Amino acid sequence: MRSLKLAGQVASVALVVALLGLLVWKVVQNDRTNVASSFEKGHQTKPVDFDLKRLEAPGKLKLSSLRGKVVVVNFWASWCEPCKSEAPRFEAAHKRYGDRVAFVGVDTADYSSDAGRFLDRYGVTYPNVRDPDRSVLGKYGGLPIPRTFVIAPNWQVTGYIFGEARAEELESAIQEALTA
Amino acid sequence: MRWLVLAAVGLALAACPAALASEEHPSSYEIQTELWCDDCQTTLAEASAVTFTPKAIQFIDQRIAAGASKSEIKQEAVKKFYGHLSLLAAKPQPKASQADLEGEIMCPVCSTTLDQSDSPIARRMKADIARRIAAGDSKKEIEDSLVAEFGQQILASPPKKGFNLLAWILPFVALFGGALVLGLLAWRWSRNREPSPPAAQLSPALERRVDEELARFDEG
Repeated sequence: MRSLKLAGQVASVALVVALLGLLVWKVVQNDRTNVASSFEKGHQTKPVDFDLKRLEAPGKLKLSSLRGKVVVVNFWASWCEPCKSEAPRFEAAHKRYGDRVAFVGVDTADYSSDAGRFLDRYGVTYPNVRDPDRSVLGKYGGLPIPRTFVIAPNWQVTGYIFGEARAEELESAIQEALTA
Repeated sequence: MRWLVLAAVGLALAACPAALASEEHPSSYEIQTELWCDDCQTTLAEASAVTFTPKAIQFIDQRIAAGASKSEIKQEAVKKFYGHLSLLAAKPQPKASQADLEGEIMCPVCSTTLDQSDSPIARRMKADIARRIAAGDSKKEIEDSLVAEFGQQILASPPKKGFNLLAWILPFVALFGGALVLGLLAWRWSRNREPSPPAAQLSPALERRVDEELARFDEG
């Protein structure tokens, strides 16, 4: 009876320790895989790959297929006010840099019809993908948006803009990635 | 146990000819309960006399008299009264309510249901739901379209199928398991309780001395 009681106590303590361990692991894991927080802490940060459906064309786009180029990844939605202000700046930069820099828009938690109208309205011509359930955005820092990441050809994140991207911020982040 | 199996087999054997009889020799009322009156939103059996209902019932009676089977009569009636009658299985689903849907759909950016949120996307979704309800879409159609747009997580409660079924079953399993463990522990505890120690016995010498003391006390 006494050994049974002891076994029960040991099992209870082990369960509590295991749950605590799981909590700590989850927090650490989340911190490691969250591109924004890892970059802000000054760690060498690789982008998290994604393979999402194209918004304005059939098929999918895999981020890692752009490896070797400077890539600008912009998370946006049609209901997001700052996204409306920054969209023309991304398009202007896309036209200015041409093939040297790949731009990818990630429309998140949005109606596809609204997103399509948004692209038409702001004349966006670079590829856009859909992240309807925010699963990819979560790995890049989650809400709020917009968030913009600039990836260098050596596949390291070299720039991160939280909130509306101003033209000079974007320019400087792209230049840094081009020279990395 | 054997009796139960025998009873089930007997019941199945009895039901089979009954079902066949119902198909080959249906009653008029039976057929009316299996036809949906689109104009009155009830079965034909429950429908009040709308322009076409007496004619439809008369048609059913005539076809029964001619020896047609139940499924034939139902198909013919739906064809003859097209736009007024439909098979019950194909009856329109109940209309969705705005309040119900807003309580069962999550806002994709605020981790609350739509009725708790006033974010731009929540307002947009509420307007979309209202528009679709006005267009006559059923609750399921609206839910399906939102899931197609935003993914399964948009539903406040997981659907009761596949892997998601676990979310509905596990709490009951845990509750049952907890109650079982608690009951077991209580049972063990009540069985193993040590009996209270018996009253201390006095040694004969001490007992004699107590008696002597008491006698002396009485004399005094």
